[in-house]
Amino acid sequence: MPILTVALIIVAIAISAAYVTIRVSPQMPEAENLKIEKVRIDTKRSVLIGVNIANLGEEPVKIVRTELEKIQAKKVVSSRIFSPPISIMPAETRFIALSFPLDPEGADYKIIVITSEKTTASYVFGYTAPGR
Amino acid sequence: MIWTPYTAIMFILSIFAIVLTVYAVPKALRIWRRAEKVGLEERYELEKAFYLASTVVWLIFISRIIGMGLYWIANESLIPLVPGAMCQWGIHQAGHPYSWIDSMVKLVVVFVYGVWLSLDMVNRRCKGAPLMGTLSKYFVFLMPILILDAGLDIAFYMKVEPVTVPCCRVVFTAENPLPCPFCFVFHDAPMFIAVIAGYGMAIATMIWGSVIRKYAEEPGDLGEVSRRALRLLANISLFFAIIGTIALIPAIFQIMVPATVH
Repeated sequence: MPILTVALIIVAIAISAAYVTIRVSPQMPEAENLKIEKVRIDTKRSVLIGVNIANLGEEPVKIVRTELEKIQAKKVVSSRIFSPPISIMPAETRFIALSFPLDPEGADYKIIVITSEKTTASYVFGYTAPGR
Repeated sequence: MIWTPYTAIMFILSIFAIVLTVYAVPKALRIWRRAEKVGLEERYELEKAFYLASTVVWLIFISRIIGMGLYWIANESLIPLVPGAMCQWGIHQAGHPYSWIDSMVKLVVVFVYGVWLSLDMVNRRCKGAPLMGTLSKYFVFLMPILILDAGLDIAFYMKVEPVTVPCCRVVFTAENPLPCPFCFVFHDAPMFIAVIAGYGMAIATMIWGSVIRKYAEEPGDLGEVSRRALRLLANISLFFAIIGTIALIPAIFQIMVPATVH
């Protein structure tokens, strides 16, 4: 019976180790021509309502997905898939509307934008609800 | 000190444990010293005194084990009351250095207290209380840990004031590969509380069993009761390990799948 218990504990350790290995494995390359200029937050509701993204390159870029990672938890807390993808023309800055809830107690976040070519642009910001 | 219902209960439980420990230690010391030397007549008197003392010790340990769980809830209740605190890291900063030592003590005490409780369960099921001396000696040795455990709770909660504190954002930045354990477990992946509790109890019951194993080879009543207790603890341990493993599956989903998907 104790052997079974030890086996279950070893399984848990193995699963956790596998998860950590997947997490630290190589990420997608950075999109050189894409820049997140700013984020817009509704501080009354503690919601990220959108991001301004600029295409600095000479080719159109298609945004397929955005993710919001809570840095202190190292966890993607919200995501949105764009179908059809959002196109940003060269030299254009576009506002992409989102509705991602933020922790009113405060935290640091990383907003990640993923293109159809599997490249990413990210932007780190901190948020604490007013009065906290 | 910031008084919330939880910090008040923690404060009362700590005072209760210290008072009862101070009451029970001299009795345990007397039983430990006399248990090996007494005759049949006096041994009966000693057994009666031991049953009273062991009931008090049960109250102490049960109150400390309840306090161990309540400790994390009390810390959570303080987060909105301490400016700058986003998670228990901030509360620990407010109660530094007692908070950090207290948390470490809280993570190990259940293993230690449970050994005494399991041995006493065996002792109560045997004729003539054969482990009376051992249990009294063990309780005397546990006294410093009990006083430390309860005393740190009092010192920690007395130190916490509603002043601005730095929280985990200072340490767990974008460059740091590790998550803040308090944000991660208590706020963003709470299923891990069930995983940690499940595996923690599985390991604890295995440790308690390893101590009882020493008596399983003894002749007569003590050996028989110890073997039964070992089987029971092994089953309990397996039960908790299964609970931990079952909880691990939704816990992993909780961290891999975003809470909000549009």
